[in-house]
Amino acid sequence: MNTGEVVDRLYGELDITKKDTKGYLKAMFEIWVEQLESERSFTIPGLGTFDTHTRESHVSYNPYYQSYMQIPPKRVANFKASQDLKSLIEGESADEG
Amino acid sequence: MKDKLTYDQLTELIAGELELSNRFTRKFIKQLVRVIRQGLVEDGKVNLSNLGIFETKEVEAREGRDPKTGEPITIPAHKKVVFKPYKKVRERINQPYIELEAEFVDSTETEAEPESEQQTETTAPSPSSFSPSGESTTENTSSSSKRSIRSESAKRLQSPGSPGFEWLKQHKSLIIRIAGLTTLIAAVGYSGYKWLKEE
Repeated sequence: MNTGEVVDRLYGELDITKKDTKGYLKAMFEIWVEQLESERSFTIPGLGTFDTHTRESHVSYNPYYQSYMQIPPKRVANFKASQDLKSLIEGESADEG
Repeated sequence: MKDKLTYDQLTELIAGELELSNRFTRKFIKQLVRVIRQGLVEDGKVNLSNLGIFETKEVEAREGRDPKTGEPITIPAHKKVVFKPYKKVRERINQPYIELEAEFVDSTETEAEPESEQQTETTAPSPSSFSPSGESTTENTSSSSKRSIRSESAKRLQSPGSPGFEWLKQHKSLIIRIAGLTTLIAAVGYSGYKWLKEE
């Protein structure tokens, strides 16, 4: 499912125009990313928690160069699905198998 | 993570920024979450532009241990949700370290891994103290003159404004192999020549 389809399913439910929905989504995600940039975590109910952490510098083997390399520190985003999203996804797989 | 934003704080922030009512913002997020959940169940994948991709992923069954009792248990195969931010977002989050690149380390040094781990622990927290010029690696090897010469040359290779050296650095292993092969061919050729002369 892409953004277009998400917008299509959203705007009817909210009684706003398609264009507004797109604009709100973009602006809201911008705020989400800004929070992650300034190392603030937040939780969206029903979805999960967004967080960042710093991967420390370490030595690792690069199979392409066949050599050990010093990997620099890196700050990465982390997403942890909420319990009810987990059970929704797992419940679905349990039905299949 | 320094701060944790409560959901109230987040919705107030979004409502303020988008000039919407708090109530509508909550409704908007609630509906968005509902659609994302639908998408995950139907397609197993939701692409959100300017943010990233939510995807369900199959996890194979594996052996694990009960964290309480320590007894071995089998964790059954299941699905999980993963989120991958788009490259632009990843780059923005990694802004403090974006200039740093991985660099080659002498394989002789890596045998002393605990040492290098210690070194990373001290350098990791602040981005400014991580030296991209490889100076920290020279300190460790100063005991052996042979090694310090190697890291000296490595340092010279890393000096800025020399794209040729950059290329050499990247193809280090290839160059070493070609050099070894050439030596071998020369040796075989020379002994063959000697043998023919004797005949």
